[in-house]
Amino acid sequence: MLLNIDSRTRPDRPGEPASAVRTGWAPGRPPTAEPSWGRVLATTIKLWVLRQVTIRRWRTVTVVAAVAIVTVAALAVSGVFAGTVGSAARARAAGTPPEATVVPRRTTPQPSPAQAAAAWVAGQLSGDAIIACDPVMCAALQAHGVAASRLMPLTPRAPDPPGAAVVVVTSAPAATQRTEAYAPAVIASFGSGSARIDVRAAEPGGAAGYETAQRADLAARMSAGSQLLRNNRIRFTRQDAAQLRAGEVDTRLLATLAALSSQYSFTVTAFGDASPGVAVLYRDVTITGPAQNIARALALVKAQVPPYLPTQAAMTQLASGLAVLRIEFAAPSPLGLLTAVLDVNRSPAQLAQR
Amino acid sequence: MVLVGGVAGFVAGASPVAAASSTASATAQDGWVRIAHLSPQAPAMDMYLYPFGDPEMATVLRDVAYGDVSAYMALSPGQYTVAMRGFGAPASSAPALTTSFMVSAHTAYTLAALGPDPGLRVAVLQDQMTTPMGRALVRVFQASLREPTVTVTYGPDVLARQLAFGSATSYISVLPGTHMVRLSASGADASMRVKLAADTVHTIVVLDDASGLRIDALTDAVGSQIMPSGGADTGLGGTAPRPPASPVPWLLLVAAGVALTAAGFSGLRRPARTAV
Repeated sequence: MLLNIDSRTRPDRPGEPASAVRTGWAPGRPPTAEPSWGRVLATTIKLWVLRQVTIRRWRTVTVVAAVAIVTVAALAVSGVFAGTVGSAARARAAGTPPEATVVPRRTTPQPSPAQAAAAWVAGQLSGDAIIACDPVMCAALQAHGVAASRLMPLTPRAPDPPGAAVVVVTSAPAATQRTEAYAPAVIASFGSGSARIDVRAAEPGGAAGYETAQRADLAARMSAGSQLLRNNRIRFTRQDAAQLRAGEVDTRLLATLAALSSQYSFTVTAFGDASPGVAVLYRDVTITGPAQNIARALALVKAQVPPYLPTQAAMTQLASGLAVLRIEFAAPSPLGLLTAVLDVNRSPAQLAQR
Repeated sequence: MVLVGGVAGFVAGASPVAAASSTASATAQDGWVRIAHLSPQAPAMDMYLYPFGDPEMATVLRDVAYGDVSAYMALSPGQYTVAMRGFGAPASSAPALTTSFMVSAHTAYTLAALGPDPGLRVAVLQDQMTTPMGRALVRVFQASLREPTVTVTYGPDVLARQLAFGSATSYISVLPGTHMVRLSASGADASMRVKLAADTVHTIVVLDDASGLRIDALTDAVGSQIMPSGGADTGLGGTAPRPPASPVPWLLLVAAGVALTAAGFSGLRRPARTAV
């Protein structure tokens, strides 16, 4: 029975006013004339139709909502929206939480820019890089374990120490002007205002040489990255593919991935970097694959010599039989590794003949 | 000793397909690469070239020993990672990555392994294949570990002054002829008679020997416009691969056939005219 219209089943409720929709009679009153069967039938059909429409509407809404949720979830998992998250995704890839989730702790004092810069330099630069620094920074670097033999103090008489790979300076205009000429590339930055500390990479050709080398390296990275995307032994997420095409991946990573793919098939799950304050090339990569292959890949990358020897390479075994390998190269990213053709114009002989 | 073209080295692919690609299936768009072992301290090795885009097409040059210079190998244009393994080491063992470079179409390169061992590195030199009419081209590559700098002359021409280890000069145009190549350094000298014919391109390599310095004269090209192929083949190009023929004539022929067929059917359907 779809609709209870039998008034005899209803309990008598004294004092209750008769509802406009009630079809029974009021207590104590003589029953009114019963509606015709045709009207009853029409009302029954009308109410049944109304209920069906209501039920189906909710069913339709529910199904559409479920389909939408599943679709959005699937697209999110597949990385379709990767290109829309921009800096947030990059921050996650870099192993740092997005800005919205950073909650400063009151109990732990924030390190000063100099201390943060020293910690970063100690952990991210290759172990043999010579570092030029002012006396305060040199002391901070030594306190973080950097050997004194790698430090080259900056003095007013020697503002551009030869042989230094990296310069760590304050953002004071005088210091910046001195260092920009021979160390034009900022590879990490800490703090702000007058307290800011910049870590700069030295370039033998100075600012002009750096611009030229940077342009050539970008073109080479974009070309090599696009070629890697055609490699049928490496799978990339949509976000990683975009980063490869844009030339945002360190050349040592590109060469290493190409070599690994000659022996194994694997999936690149993320590129990352750990350079605060500036957008630099991605220097680390995380790949996944069968545990046996990943173990061999780890052995391969650890067997290299500079510049192809990473500073960190570690494998994590998953319960599924897969394993994860994270490879990180030291800062700064070298230029010109993909275009290694000998430049005869920079050979000592040519310079001597001029 | 004069090394002409390729001396040693067995070119093979990591797979049969790759071997074929290195020697037989050269196309008009290929680049050219040869490999030279110029480190007296390093043992014989196998050298691998891994293309970025197609890992199954690795090119392998096996048993490259000191002084060996391979013939030019045809390679598809693209980015390559160069890696080395000890001679006979299985391809599944960990190689040592040495460099990465881009092969461009119609361009020739020399990969030169040089330096101490350990510490071996690979320098990539871009080779020139053509000369000014009636001239010879020559350059110098300094691979001596014993002498940090050398000065090199060819007859009356000074080819290099105080050339540092690992450096190369650009090509220098000289008159064809036979002259003495003289090396002078702080601790040793060496000389060798070398003939540079017209329309040839050469690289003079400075190496170490048991008694001091050693000179190798490599021939990069013989005859302008002709790229080396396989085993230093510098022929006239009669068997060189040709670009695919244009499909237009065949398409026109097919179209004409279809038109004739249609016309034939049309003629069959039309009722025969009767004479009035």
